[in-house]
Amino acid sequence: MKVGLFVPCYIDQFFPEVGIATLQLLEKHNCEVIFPDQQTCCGQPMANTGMEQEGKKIYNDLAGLFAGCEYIVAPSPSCVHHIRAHYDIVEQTKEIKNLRKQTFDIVEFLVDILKIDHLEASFPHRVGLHQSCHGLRGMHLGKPSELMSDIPSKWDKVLKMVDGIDLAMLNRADECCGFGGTFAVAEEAVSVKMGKDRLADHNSNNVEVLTSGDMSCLMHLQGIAKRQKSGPKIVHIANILNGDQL
Amino acid sequence: MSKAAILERIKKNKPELVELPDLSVFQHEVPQENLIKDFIEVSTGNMSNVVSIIDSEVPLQTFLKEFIAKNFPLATTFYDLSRSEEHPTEVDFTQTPVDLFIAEAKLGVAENGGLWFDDSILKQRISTFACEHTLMIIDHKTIVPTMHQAYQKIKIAETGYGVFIAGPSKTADIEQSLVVGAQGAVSNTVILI
Amino acid sequence: MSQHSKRADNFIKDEARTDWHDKALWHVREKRDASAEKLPEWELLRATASQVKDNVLSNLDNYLVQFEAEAKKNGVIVHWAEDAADHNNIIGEILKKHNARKIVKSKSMLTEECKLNDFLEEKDIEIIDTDLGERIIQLRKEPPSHVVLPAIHIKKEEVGELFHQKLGTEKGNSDPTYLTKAARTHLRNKFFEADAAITGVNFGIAETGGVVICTNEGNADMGCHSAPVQIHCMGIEKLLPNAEHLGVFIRLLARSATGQPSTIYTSHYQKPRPGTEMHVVIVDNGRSTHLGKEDFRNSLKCIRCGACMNTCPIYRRSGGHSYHSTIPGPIGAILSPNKNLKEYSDLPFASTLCGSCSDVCPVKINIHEQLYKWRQEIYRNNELLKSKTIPLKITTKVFENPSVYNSLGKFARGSLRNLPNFMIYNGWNAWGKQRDLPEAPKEGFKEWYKKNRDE
Repeated sequence: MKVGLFVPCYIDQFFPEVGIATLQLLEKHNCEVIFPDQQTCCGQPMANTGMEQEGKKIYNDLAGLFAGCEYIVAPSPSCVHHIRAHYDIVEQTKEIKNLRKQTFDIVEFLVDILKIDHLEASFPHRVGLHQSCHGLRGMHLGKPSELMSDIPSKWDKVLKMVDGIDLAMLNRADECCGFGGTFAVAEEAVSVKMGKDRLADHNSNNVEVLTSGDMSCLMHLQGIAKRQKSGPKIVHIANILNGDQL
Repeated sequence: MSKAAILERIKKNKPELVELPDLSVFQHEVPQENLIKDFIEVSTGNMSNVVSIIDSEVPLQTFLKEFIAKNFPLATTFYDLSRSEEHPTEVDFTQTPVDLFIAEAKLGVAENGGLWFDDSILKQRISTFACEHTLMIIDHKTIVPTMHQAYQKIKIAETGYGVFIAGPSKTADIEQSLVVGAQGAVSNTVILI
Repeated sequence: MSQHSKRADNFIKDEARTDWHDKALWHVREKRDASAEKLPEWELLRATASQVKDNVLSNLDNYLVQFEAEAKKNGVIVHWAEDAADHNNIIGEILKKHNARKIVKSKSMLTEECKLNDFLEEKDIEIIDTDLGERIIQLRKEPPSHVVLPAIHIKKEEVGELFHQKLGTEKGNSDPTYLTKAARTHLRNKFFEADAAITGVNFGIAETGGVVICTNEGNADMGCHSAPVQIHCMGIEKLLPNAEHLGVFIRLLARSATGQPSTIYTSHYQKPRPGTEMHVVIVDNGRSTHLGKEDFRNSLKCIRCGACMNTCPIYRRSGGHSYHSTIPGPIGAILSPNKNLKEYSDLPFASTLCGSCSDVCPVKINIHEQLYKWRQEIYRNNELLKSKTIPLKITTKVFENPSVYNSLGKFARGSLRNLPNFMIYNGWNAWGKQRDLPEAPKEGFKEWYKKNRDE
């Protein structure tokens, strides 16, 4: 199975270990991974600020890079959601259609496409899952607490395959962390307050490692935790699933 | 003038017609014993005092007389609509405080404890709001499961005014603390017959 | 800084109070969840309500004509108001005809929108808001901070002091029961003296020509059944086709708002009581124009339950007044730009687009998607701050040029041991106030890949 790896810009620049874990996870599950070197960004930072029209070239370029791929996988529900939901403003070429239809988040890909039932990974720690909003409400990787329908959690499913993991229950299962792209700086006070409250919830439930599918949420939470000089360690879910140790 | 302009703009701007959904999906049946259980639970939750005399042999008026004497010993003024043969005389509620309102509702709703009163019962609409305490009688056979069935039974077009009352007046506007007796009745008693 | 972010910043300065506000509203959200969970048909009810409202919007002109005809048959006097000024003048005329000087009003966001109180007070007409929360904020000369819980931002000690000054309650007593009883006595007199009663409308029924009003306190009824004139102010979008549709909406409204299975009073007004007058004022005030905006029209489905406010993590931590618009919170942020794009251009940005508002909405308004669309609209209309557009345009240029992107990242890390500037959208100052930036890794993923896989 030929899989294109999309490593979003901030992971490439700030958190390469998340890209590496994603690549290794795909390789372990016998995917033939290609990584187009010319990729940059999905265009979400501009679009969420109202400038989606400026991102059209970025959208088309990204689609062109992955034109030959059966699947495209990224370790970021947020970017995947952006591609699916908001690439409707450019001409729906064969490449764009393929990208929107065939791009998956890594957890979603493991569960829905590869249909894995076990993982060679062990992580003997108490882990708190931050259900990032785009993955949760945009892609239903978990059940949003507002909805009364039955939506099985894909995050829970894969985390439960990891040996020794102790998943914490949080007081507020799915409140937003307050990152929100440029919101993090435009509404600095609220953004940081939301992040502090999220961290406090994890702390009060004795979380040792805070994980999530979205590194952007984690970057924000990690930034606050570091400044406070307290709080859980921050690890992307791909690293846990890949068997990486602390 | 305004009317024509408003309607003209709506006509120009409205989207293509969307059909109405099917409401028959909400018409599920519930066994009557569950209905009564639900009704009592919700009404109690709404801070009504619920008394069931469903199995009692005592005539209603006899029961009421004793019940009121025992539970409202200080009540001296009444607005009693429960005896259909003798209507109370008109009261100027703005001038005269009345202690106790008594009436039988036409229908009850199990899911929210709502009791239906309309103009055919409420000779004066203000009565049930202005009286200090209310005592509402409901025949358990008239209780329906949800508001869907309620709206099938009541005919709001045929009345001038109608109201579902689900308990005593209440508010939580000061720091979300529940206080019973905001503007309307300060207590509500439901007698299930 | 935008208006909203300034006000939010100010609100959050008192962190303990912010936590108190957040918890109070989260508790309401939890009550809503518990109530919704009890109904296996909850999601079907939402879908049904959404479709009924879609039908209403698609046939609104006919329903309004039908409503007016039926109301007239019932002896109701119907008025049509083009805008806020029109609405206020119509009410002014009705009151003048009856020489009404003392008015009681129950909760109505529409009259807030039209600034009716200011209009009447200028004419020396006394207008008393009778919902307890509304009365509190009226005495404080403040707008409501929430559509259902107008005084949710105020502490009981502050109410105690306010009532001490305005209603003569004992100093230092802030017991909610004591204060509520004092308000009850104060308002009873106002009801019984009233020359006219004004209310908002939760639902109008096209089939019957009647209006439905939901309260817990019974204040709408106290007013309407005491005064010789009752006036109901209704936005054009409040209609439902038939009485049976009330079943769907009454089931959703209070559960979504406070978690109650229904409000205590659900009142159906069809005809005036003998010897009195009943008026309905149908108000447009921009709604019919709003109806023509395809991407935004379905915000007209809103039933003002406030669930989107209770669930919104930003609203809970910034307070209703930070939205500086009649309707605050997520729904306010998509309604207000319809009225004035320039003035409210900050509101669609007061969101992380987390989507909780859309999932909690009983009529399934796609609130967070509309927030996203309003942002595009604001940029298109040149209402976006230059401090946002300029750095993002630079970032866009970098993303459009992979070789520039690749070398800038490498350069920053290699030579400066730093993070590339284009990645932090010029927001380093705001980011770094209370947060650290991640440490720059020795090499980016692309460099690692070249070394380890691209042989």
